[in-house]
Amino acid sequence: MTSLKLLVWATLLGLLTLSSSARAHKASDSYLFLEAKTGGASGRWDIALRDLDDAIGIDRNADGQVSWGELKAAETQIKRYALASLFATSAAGACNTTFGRMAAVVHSDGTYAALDIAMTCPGAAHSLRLRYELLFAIDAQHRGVVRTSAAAPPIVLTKSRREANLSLGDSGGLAAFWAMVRLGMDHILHGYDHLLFLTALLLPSALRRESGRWVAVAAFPAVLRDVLRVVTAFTVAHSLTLGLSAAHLVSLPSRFVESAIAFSVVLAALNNLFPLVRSERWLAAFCLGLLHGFGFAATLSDINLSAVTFARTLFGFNLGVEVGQLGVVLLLLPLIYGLRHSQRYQRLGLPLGSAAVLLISSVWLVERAFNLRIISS
Amino acid sequence: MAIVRDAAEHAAPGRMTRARHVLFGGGALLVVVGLVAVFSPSPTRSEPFLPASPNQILEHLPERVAGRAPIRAAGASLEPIRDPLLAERLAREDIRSYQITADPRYLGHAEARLSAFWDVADAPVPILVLRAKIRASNHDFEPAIRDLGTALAKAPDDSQALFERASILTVLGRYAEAVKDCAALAPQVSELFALGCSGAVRGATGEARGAALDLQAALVRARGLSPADAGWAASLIGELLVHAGDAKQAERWLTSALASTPQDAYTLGVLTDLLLDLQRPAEVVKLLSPFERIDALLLRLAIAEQQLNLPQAEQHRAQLAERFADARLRGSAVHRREEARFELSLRGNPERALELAVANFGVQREAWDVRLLLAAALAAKKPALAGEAREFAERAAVQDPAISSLLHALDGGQR
Repeated sequence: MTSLKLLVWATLLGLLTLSSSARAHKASDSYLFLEAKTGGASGRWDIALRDLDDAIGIDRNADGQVSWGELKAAETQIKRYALASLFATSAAGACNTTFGRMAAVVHSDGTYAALDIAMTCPGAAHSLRLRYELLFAIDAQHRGVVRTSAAAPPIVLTKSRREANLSLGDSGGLAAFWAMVRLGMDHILHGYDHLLFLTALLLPSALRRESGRWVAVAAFPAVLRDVLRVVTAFTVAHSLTLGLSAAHLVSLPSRFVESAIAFSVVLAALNNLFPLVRSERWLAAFCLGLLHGFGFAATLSDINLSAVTFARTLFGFNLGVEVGQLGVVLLLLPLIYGLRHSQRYQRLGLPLGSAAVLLISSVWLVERAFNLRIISS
Repeated sequence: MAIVRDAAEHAAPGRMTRARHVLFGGGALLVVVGLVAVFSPSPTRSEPFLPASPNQILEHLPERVAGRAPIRAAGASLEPIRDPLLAERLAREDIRSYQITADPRYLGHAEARLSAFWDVADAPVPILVLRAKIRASNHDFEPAIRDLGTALAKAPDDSQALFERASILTVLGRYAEAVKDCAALAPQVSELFALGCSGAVRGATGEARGAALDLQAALVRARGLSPADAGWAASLIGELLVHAGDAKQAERWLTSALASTPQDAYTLGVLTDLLLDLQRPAEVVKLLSPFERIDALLLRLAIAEQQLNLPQAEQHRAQLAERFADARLRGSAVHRREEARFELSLRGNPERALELAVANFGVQREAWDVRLLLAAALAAKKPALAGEAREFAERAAVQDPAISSLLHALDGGQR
């Protein structure tokens, strides 16, 4: 390997192995993720170890640290405390709350106990009333942050507002799903870098190179095939990395991702001006599309729900992205096909359009890589 | 570029040329990077895990501040403390822990200790003063001023209540009222504290240098000061000298304040702001590396790291974003000043910074609040929105080199 390649690898690996260690000083919050299901709700409740130690004492050997062993030893005590701090009722009466597995989970201010929680309510419950009592006795500024879906705003319970209604059933689910679809559409339609990348790849779809010049491709099916190949490859690639990244399986630093996305647009535009990759443009769309998925995932990074909700959320968001993208392709396709015989398009439209894309994306690249502001806000 | 053009012109159709190798090599590299990323342990957050060993340490609890009684709930409920003397003593310890560590959980504990008296309008004077301190720390300034008014109606000479109210009124920019409280305080306390009270107001109204000189003289005369009080006085003198534009002397005083109280977050903030203004980010990194836990200091650390192009800048920026998001989630607004500065200096988002700076200026009006609003309005090219801060600065005759140069720049932009 050349030294340059080694340097690139070292940088990439360095970026990948960054770990976050410092924990914030923060006021006390617990995080309750609840998902409605028939006859109740289930989810996870994250409570800070530090708060648990203040409330019930879990540092048994008083060495100022909480080990996994100490946490496990206090499990029954913790669940009893939690059970006495959260009450759910439906129209037909009190719900039965049970706790499942206890794990550990890291939030910005430290490690929390993560308790799987299930609530079973009598009758056909359509809504549920929560009363929250955790920690208020020892911390008057404690908050219970309750989330029922990624799209719905969280409910914040405080010492003076301890109760809240949660609606169950499909209204939350469908509305939340639709909200995610809209978020995805919004994201692609305002994500000019993704759109420019796709546009740059599609501009020459109705043309082919013959002895250094562009000539029109006659048949519509051939054009359509080319467009489909590029769009599908881009979609598959960005869906793949979006999923991996949203599931926290992969994480790349945002500045690297944003810079690399800008660079991918530069490459796509350059390829139109100095064509290297022609029939294999779909492959370029795939390789570079992997990067764009990381960019999409940034929007989803704050969302933090159980496996079922996560899959639904991700699917909704991705669907929204694809619908938005399809709309743009449907607008572009007639234009590209209609103009394919035009000399002006071949000689001027394509090169000038690509040059414009190249210019914009180069500015983005410089801005993002060096953290400057030139054109964007 | 030369290679690319060359390859494009001479390549035979359908053959993989050198340049295409490069392009596909790049693509393949990305795929490999993706695979490496998948199989490498990434810093996952918010994903529950089951530790492999019972010995694995999950959390380091904060060191017990000496003398602070642990707080315990026997079940979900804990009987509120009815004894006002006990409640006062315990809450005072919690507030002291908060002042030492800047950890807001202690404020919640202090409030809980006072819960039996929290909504009692007519609570004992010492409890009213503590309640006001907690409220002011949460930026509930008006209720805090009301509590102190009630306390002073009962005990007009209470020095703590007077000092507390003068400090809050200074933060709010209500200088005439603050001056009155400082005048009422003067006969009750030592010369140093009396001058400290009035000095903060004078520093905000164009008399920073005179106030600093008076305090220096009083400090020489003062006898038997505790390190905490000596640190407080030196820190205030340093801050006044920053406003007076005497960077060299300011740095000397702030450094000596840190010698008395090395962990003091407020002094560290003032000193590192000065160093950032003096383009000495490397020293900021050195000073603040042990204080990443404190949001306001992590902010300055990240700004310094960004100026030095250090790799940690990105990670710290992400951490700050997460902390601000957490604060927003719980509906807390105490971070507005820091968040405005974050958006302005670290995110390059002057529009958002301006929104936050405007909202922040509606709540507090210290030099940094003025400065941020002016800077954000300038960066967002909306000088009209700085009008309020400009008027305020001119009315109070605010003296501060950074504010003066921002006002100058805004004038230039309007002409």
